[in-house]
Amino acid sequence: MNIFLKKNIFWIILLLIFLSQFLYWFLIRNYTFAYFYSDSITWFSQVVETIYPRLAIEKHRFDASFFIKKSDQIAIRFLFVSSIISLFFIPKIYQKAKSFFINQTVYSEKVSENKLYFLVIYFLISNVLLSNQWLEILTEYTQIAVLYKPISFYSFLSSSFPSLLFFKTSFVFLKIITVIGTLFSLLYLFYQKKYLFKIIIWFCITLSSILFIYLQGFLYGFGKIEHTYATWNWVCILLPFWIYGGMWSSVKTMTRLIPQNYLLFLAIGLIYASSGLEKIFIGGLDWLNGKALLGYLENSPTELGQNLSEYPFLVFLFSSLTIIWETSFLLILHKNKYIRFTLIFIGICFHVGVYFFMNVGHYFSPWIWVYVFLLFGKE
Amino acid sequence: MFYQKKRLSFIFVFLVLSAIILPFIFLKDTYLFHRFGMFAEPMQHKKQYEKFYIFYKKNNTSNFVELKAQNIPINANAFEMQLRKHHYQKKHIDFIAVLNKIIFKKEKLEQYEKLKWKWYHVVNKQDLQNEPDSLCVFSN
Repeated sequence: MNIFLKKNIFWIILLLIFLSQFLYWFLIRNYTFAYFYSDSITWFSQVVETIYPRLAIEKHRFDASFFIKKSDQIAIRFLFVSSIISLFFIPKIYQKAKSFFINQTVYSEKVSENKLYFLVIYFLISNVLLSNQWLEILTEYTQIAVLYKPISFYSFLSSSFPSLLFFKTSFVFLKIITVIGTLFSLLYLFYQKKYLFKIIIWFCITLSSILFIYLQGFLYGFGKIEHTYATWNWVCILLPFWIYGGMWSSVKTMTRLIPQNYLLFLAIGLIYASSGLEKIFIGGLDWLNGKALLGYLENSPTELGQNLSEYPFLVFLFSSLTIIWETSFLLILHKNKYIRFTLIFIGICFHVGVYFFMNVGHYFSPWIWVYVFLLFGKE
Repeated sequence: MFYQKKRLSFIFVFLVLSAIILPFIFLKDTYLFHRFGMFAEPMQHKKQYEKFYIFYKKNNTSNFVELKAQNIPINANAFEMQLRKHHYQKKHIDFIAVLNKIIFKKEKLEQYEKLKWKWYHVVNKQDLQNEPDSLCVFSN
């Protein structure tokens, strides 16, 4: 039985994907339509309202086609992702992908401890700089604190908006952690055998990451979740694990070289790729032929953006380049530094361009700050 | 021990990948794991902007004055976003109640005084000969 499963796993998965698609397009989709056009309670309506209770109210606010489009998207995206994953169950493809990943990507690279501790200092100081304006915004939000609705896991922590004193104390604490962490990182560079320093630095990084993510969440409790710090959050999530792994691997090998944080490269690469795929899946042809971008530029609040909309060929060029660059950002994993530097250079131009042409983000966007972590690598 | 460590690292990688891929599949933002659909939706109207304006007056003898973000004080973008959100969710009364409290506190008004409010939604579609459509969406 086990041998049969191993031999035919790809075909079994393919069959399951096909079956799930068949079920959706010929059965569940029709049930969804029926759910919107009838008020009778069926087993399907009970399942839907258990999983997504808001739908019972929202089905009266929006047209059925709005939700059907969304559920079609989910089915198509599931097909897309699961088909790619299933390819890795073909032994030949798996072996080739594995060998490529091990030999040709940053997975095989190492970073010197000096560079690592430079990144640690950069990270700690950046956390303070990036969150510098939050206290001002949160102070303003205390005026409309009654409108606060906790997002995701915050509803388990506290249902009301914290006091100003809590925020002020937290930001002071963040600064104290940064000073301690930076000081010990500098000391470690001179006295490299003090493992106690490493432990203190690790604690500072972890606390700083948790505080950065935790305090940021309160900004989004008033109805809008922003992506400004999305990639930086991934640095906050992955850096403590990287440092933890690096601490013990260098103890063992004593080479003072630690494995590259390949997961951060993978996460950032996937984020950009998914952003490009969103444009293809939703905007489709409109994004490829530049119509979608033209629409945004025509409505741009900046004069520069509106002027650019008068050159449709340039808009088409930028639009296609954006799609190509975003979807190919996974190549950031490649250990060829020229590929990486090119992607990063285009990335800087992209974020600066989005700011000047569309007034979105900032010319010194936190997404650019993350690039520093993608620059270093050494065999 | 080695296999345990390998399994743990496999689970960790699996969780990281899921945290990025699942919001993409299910079209759902759950802080801190996002879906990056910004600008993916093509524009529906050519050259259009919308703005919200709120006016209030303290009594029958005074005139309506515009309530600006800096009068609260709150960030202008955050104020605009709150106005848009409450308008589309048809929760004008809720937001006016909050503003009412703020103005009462700020202007040190007496309990018996009642503020009058007007909330306008202005849409300018430039393909409609630059004539903005303005609609009073709330008044008391």
